[in-house]
Formats: sequence, structure tokens, C-alpha cells
Amino acid sequence: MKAEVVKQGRRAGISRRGFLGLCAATGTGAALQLRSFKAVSKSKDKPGSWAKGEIIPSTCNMCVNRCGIQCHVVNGVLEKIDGDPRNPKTAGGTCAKGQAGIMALYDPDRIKYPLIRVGERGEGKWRRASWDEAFDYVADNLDRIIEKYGPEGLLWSSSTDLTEVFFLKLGVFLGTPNFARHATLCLASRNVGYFGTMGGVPDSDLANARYIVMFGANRLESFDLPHNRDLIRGLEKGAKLVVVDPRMTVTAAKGTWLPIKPRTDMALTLALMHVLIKEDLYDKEFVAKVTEGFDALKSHVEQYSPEWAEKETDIPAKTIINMAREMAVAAPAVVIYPGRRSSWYTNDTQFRRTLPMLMALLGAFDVSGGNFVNAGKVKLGDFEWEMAPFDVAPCVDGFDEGPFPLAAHDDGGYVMRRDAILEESGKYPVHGWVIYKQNPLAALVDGNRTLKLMEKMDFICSIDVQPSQTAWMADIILPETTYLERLDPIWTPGGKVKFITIRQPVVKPQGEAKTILEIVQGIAAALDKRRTFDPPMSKVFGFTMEEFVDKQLKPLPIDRETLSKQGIWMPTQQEMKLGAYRRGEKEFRTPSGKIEFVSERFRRNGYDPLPIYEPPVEEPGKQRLVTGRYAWFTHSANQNNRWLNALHPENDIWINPDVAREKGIRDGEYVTVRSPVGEVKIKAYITPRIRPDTVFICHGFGTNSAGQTTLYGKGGADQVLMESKADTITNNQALHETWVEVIKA
Amino acid sequence: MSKKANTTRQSRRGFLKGVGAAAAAVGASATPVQAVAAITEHKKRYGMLIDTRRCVGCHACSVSCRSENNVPEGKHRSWVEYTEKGTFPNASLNFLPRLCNQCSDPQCVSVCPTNATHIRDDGIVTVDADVCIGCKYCIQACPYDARFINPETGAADKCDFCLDRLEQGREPACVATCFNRARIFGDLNDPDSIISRMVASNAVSVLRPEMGTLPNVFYIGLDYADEHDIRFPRQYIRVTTHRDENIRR
Repeated sequence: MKAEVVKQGRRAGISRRGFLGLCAATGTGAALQLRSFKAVSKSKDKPGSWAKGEIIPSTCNMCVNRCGIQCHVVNGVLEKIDGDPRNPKTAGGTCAKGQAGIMALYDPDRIKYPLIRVGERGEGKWRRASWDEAFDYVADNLDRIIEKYGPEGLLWSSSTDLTEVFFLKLGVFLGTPNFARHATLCLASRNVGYFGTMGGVPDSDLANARYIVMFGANRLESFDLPHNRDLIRGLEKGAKLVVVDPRMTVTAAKGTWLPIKPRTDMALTLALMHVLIKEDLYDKEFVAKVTEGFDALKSHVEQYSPEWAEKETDIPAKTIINMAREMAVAAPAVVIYPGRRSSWYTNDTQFRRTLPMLMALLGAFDVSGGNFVNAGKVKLGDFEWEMAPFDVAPCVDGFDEGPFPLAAHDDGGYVMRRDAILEESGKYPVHGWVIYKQNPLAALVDGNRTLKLMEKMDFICSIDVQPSQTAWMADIILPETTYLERLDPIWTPGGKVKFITIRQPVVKPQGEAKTILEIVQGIAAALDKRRTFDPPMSKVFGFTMEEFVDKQLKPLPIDRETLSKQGIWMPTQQEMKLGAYRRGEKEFRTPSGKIEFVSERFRRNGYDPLPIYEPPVEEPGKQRLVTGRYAWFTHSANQNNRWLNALHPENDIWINPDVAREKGIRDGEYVTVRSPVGEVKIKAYITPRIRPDTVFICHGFGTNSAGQTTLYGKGGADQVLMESKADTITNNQALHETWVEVIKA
Repeated sequence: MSKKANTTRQSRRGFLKGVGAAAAAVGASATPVQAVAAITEHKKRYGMLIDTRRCVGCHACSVSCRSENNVPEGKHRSWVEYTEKGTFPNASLNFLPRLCNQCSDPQCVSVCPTNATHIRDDGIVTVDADVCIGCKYCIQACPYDARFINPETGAADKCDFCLDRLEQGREPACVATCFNRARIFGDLNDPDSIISRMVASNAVSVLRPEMGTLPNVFYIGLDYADEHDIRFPRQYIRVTTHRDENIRR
């Protein structure tokens, strides 16, 4: 009561805030005053009043999911990001990363001006340059390398994003064949495995599933919307979740954790198939109608009994048998989750092949609650590039000429390409490296080798928003705008619902940051002065992003202005129907048009048409290193984001308590982790959530860039420890094939 | 006239909102104004229900709160605790989103010498930064460690269910951003609100009920290190707060 009196008394004398509230209430004229006040005294004033500012819908880019966001902008300052409730994929939610987008924009470490190196590489001595000078510098170097070594003397690296196309086209028009994209650091083996069995990677109906099996996929920490939301909904509706993973991730914590011995996942899938066939639990109608090679599979998996699998995987035979029976009961509402990053082991493609095979035995395809082919994408207008195709040299490592016939050649094999250039075992020398939106120094196995490659290069240009490890080693850094400062090409995701979203500038660029299209145009114009291209480069890139977007939107009944107001558009006609594959009306994109237990494609290319298990090689006394992420980090992109870094300022190595006791390692103390290729010092985190034969390090720490002031000097880098091993079919990196020694420091 | 009579029982904030609504409705018939008055008539008791089964510990709420309320670095209005227990392979991991419990009988209010901390009519416990003298009694008194001194104002600070968002008719920042909808916010005095129905139909619990503070933040599936664990002295238990300082329970 007393409190009430004081409060009323206090508030009656008009406080600053009360006064403003009054202004707002009395009329619209006061609104302007309020906004200007808010912008001036952001930190002092009570928060929240910004919400009367402008709301601009856009698309997030803190990871690759591209959630719908609403940005609240007051006087040109971004004050808050909220989820866009109209986005069917994200339905108003954002994650910690999405919320921390503001800190990516206003990061004090951000690169705001073109920087040219003045000291030694990696010394961190830079000089600010004008854009004209920067473009000339890049063009001079590109021209020099092309003159001396040809365009194939350039390595052209970038990661998937909406704007990547402009950077890629510049490389294509220059004539380099040496692209290095993210696929072989990530999901190439999954794609090829699924492609070999059923012609593509299916979506998963997690919301309606009754039984969900995830092999290592950590959907609740490594978000893939709407799957993580659907998974929680599915669990709430009573689905059983089984997570097969050597460590207990958040996803495993929400379900049944099967702590499998690493690299033996295929033994489990084969044994599951063994039980399903032996106990006559498989979907006979489905198998007869849409699959090929069942008899061969039957005799093939006869050798893989649950008792045998128990010895391989450390999962009790009883558990495997029960699992198969439970799956059969829940079928066809069973999701065998394809996963995303599959750069685990050297046999990964063959293991991934067994997942759709298991799915086919259960008949869990093209059905509610199972795997399915989603509605696909909205058809956007094509942009026609003004340049005819011309001959290019073969890749430096011969990747396009045979060693990996099933792999996607445009993506390149990253490890192979790096090593061919570094060891000069390639077809020709490569001396220049242009990198956009990628951090190979952190992303590639055996970081020390990548560092050596950088030292070897004559010229390195990095286009980045922050001084990443790679940018730190570059000769010139060109500052790009963040996703909050630029217009991007229209995006249409594949999912249950078709729609398009726009990413548009919500604030003006910080400093002199430019969009990648502007940067490409600048380089193109500077190149035109030095070399003759037909047609001239500046003509090829002589368009604005607005024009590009308008061309994309041309076939749709919506224009750019309306879309930028509403942020999202979806066709009223949504044709998502299940069952066409089951009924045999649609064919799979395999040679036989069916799901192939015996893969014709694999046989033709000289691989085992049926997946054959090979046991892992053990190294007693050592631990296998696995890597992953926490929910608030994306690769190595935002460990330096102040708000996100505060959640986990330093990474640590997960060690099983038994191992720690044996080695005398105490929790929180620093240990030395040694592998055949590297050594790091890192804090020990002793937890029963990991197998004794495995250790885990969160990726993205241990930066060499002093420019990342929040992150620098904290934690250890996992990629420094990893050996250069790769999947045998796709050259996808094998990140989990390194045995390390944990030594008490 | 009837509107004026209502406002005497409302806070000044509510009054201003009424005025705004009246100004907006000038020229229109009087009915909408009366309707607004009627809706705001019953006394609210705002509360939150957190379904820990849906929580995945992603910290979206923590960061959203920091962004919304300009929470200084190193201080926390909202955070998530991880509780790990067990032995390999029978380990468990649970999440406990934390914030001010907006108690009905809060100890912070009873110890405040200046009455800067007070309970509003709608049940939200707030701090008037202009009145607070920064004596930190409330920080000591709070059994949930939900308070801190804001270095920018020198006053005690804590979660206030995003008052400003509520006034605009929006959910608190942590609720709005949670894509698994682990948080449900609403009026506990309204028997038809989702939160009231959820509280009525689920086994809910509160943190530290023995303190007698009558929290208005409820949990489904609450699991954290407590006196039950004393029975298993050799069990591994680790609580990670993701805050810079270690908190006391």
C-alpha cells in the first residue's frame, strides 16, 4: 500500500518518461520528438519506446536458415530485431543468433573501410585505403596473376548465400576453373549417398512422426527451421526420438541417447535392416512397388546380426532389436533423419546410403509423419547473363576429370584442391586467392596446412565483414555490408509451404562498407582498364540489385515495393500433395526410377553397389576428436559477437569422467591436446555426456586474428588438430577421423 | 464519467493509455471508449509459465532480453541454466530458463527502504530507478538472484516482463522470440487466459516454494539441483548458468 502511495506521488511529478508518454498520448506530432529523443539517449532511457519507430521486414543471415525478421529502426539506428510471425517457416521466433544481429551490425571490430596490409602477413598492420585504390590494387594483382599464370592461377572461394552468384560469376567470367565452395566441408557425402539410393534428399515430417531416428544430427542446437520447431511439436505429440551420437547433445537430451562408438553407425543401420527383414517387419507392399534389389539386400544383411552389431557399436543387441520392432510398429510415421553436415568419416557416403534404404524398408516415404518430397520452390524469373560460355582450363587437382565421378564438380573438393596447390602436385601453379564470405583457415581440416597455403600465395583478397582468421592473413580486406544493410536477391525456400522473402537494407551501411555486387562491379571496372574482355566486364555487371530483383519477381504477381513492405509473399495455390511416389505415379531420379537397394549408379562408377561395413581402426589410449557447435554459434562466424560470446566465452574439451580420473585431469584446468598434425591448449570440461573413447571440441575458437578483440586469445582450435582425411566417394572432409592424446598440462 | 471513476483504481500509466484511446476515438461514438474501460476493469495479475520440456536452452530469450532492455554486458535479467546429472551413459541434461519470479509476496519489496521497488496493480514488481538509492538490500533479499545494480543508472534492475512492450499490447521479448513456445505469458486472474488454463491443467511448480514468496513464474517439468540430490552424494551434478558470476541458489 505504502509502495503504491510513493509510486503515485513520484509519478505525479512529471518524470522524463512520464512526460514523453504524455506527448505520445496527446497527438501524432509528438511522435517525432519521441523518436529523436530515444535515438540520442539509447542507453539511458528506459527501453522499449523505440517500438514506435519504423518496422522493416527482412530476412536474417546469422546462419543459413534465413528466418523472417522484423527490424525496429529509430532515426536510422537498429534498436531491436523480432521474429516475423507471418513467416511460415519461423512463425515469429528467432534464435539467440538472430537476436544478436544488432551486435554483428554495430560490432566495434567490424571492418568499415578497405584495408591494405602494410606489415607482414598476419602481423595486423593495415592502412586505410579508398575504394578506388582498393579496386585498383585488386585489379592490378589479378591482372598480374592472369598475365603470368592464366586465369587458372586463381583460387576462387565462397560459401553459399543469396549474393554468392555475383562473386561466382566474376570468377567464371575471368575464366578460373578453381572454385572452392562449402559443399565438401559439409554435406556432399549425404547428398551423394541419398542421390545414389533415391535420387535426392527428402524432407522430414517431424511434426507428425511417431518415431524419429537422428544419426548425429543435432537439430536442437544446430537449427534447421522449421525442423527444430517441428521436432519439439512432434515430441509433444508423443513421438519417440532416438539420437545416435557419441556425445549427448541437446537433441539427445530430449530423446533416447544411444552413445554409439564413433564410425560404426553403418553397423547399426545394417543390423536394423537385418532385424526388419529377419522378423518379417518390413513394408512388403512398399518394397515390392517402389524399390529395386531387395533380394540382394536380404542376402547382404544376413551377416549383420544385432549380436554382431553390439560388438561393433557398443549398443546392446537387445536395444537394436527393440528399436527395429518399435520402428516397425510406428511405420510408416517414421522419420529417418538425413542430417545436414555429414563431414564425419571416410566411409560416410556409403553410410548415408543406408539411411534411405532403412526408410524404404519401413515404407516411411511420401507419407504424413515420414520422409517426403516437399512442395519445392516458387518459380522465380531468370536473370540472363550477357556472356557466352567459353573454354576453361581443367581444375588444378583434376577433380573434374575422374577421381570423384559422383561428386558435384562445381563445388570442388576443398581438401584435395588445397593440398594439390600446396604440394605443387597439381597441373599448374596457383598463386592468387580471392575469398568471399568464407573462413577457410577455420573451416578446413589441418589448419596449419591452410596457413602454409596462405603463406605461399602471392595475393590474397578477402571480402568480409569482420577481421576473421582468413581476413587477418590477407593482403587486402574489402569490407562488405552485413545483411541488415543491403538488398539481396529474392529467396524462396523449399518446404511444406512455398513462399518468397526479401532481404532489404534496414539501416545505412556502417563506414564505407559496400555490397558484394558493388564490390564486383568495382573490380570489374578496374579490370576493364587493364585487360580486354568481350563483352567488357563492366557491361556484364552493369545492373543494379534492384534490377536483378525485379527480373526475379517478373513472373510473380507482386512487385518489389509491395514485397519490401510486407517482407514475404506466398502463392495462394499451394500444391503439396503426398502419395504420388507411393502410388507409382512419380519416378525417383535413379536409373531404375525406383529406390535402389543395389545402386546402379554406384556400380557403374566402380563403388560397392551395396554398402559394405568396414570396422574402424582403434587407437587405444587415445580419443577420437569430434566437433560441433552450440546453439548460439554458426561455424566460426559469430564467436566474436559480444552478446553471443558472453554465453560461452571460451570453448573447452569434453572429457568423460573415467578418462579424466585416469589421467588426473581436473575440471576447468588446461590440458594439452595433441594430434599427429597439431597441438592446442584448452580447458577441460568433464562430463558424463560423452563416451570415454571420444572427446568433443566446439568449433570456431582459437582465432589467430587479434582484430577479433572479444574472441582473441580464448579457447583452442579444433581444425588445427584434424588430419587431412576425406570421404572416399565425394572428397567430403572427414572431420571425425583424428585420434588425439589428452595430456595433463 | 464512468471512465473517470475507473481510472482512480488504475495506475497513472493505465490512465494515460485511456487518454490516448480517448484521443484516438474523438469523433467516433462513445461505445469503443467504454469497451476499453470495461476490458481494463478487472485487476490483472501477470504471470509466466515456462514449459521446460519445450525448452532447448538456445538462449534466444537471454539475448532478446539484452537487446530489448539494453541490459549491460555482464548483467542478466533473463538467463538459462543447464543442469547436467548422472553417470555415463545414464546422463541427463535439463534446461531452466530464469528470470524475476514477480512474486506476490516479494522480499525485495519488503526490504526496500525507499519503496523504489514496488508491486504494480497488475502484479509486476518494478524498480523506480529515480527513487532507488542503490543500497543493494533487495539484491541480498531476492532468493532467485534476479537483481543487479545497473552500472548506468546506479539503481537496482531486474526483469519487469518488458513493461513497455506490454503497454503496446505485445508479449515480453523473451516470449515473442521463443520459437518452441516454451514460454506462455498472460493474466493469471483471467480464468480463460491460456496461461490460467495451462496452470490449471498441468503439474506446475515454482522455484524455492519454501521461501513463501508466492512466485508468479511457473514451470512445467522443473528439474534442477536441489535437496533431492543430497540422497545421491556421489552423483555428478553440474549447473551451468551461462552468467559471468556464479550464482547462489
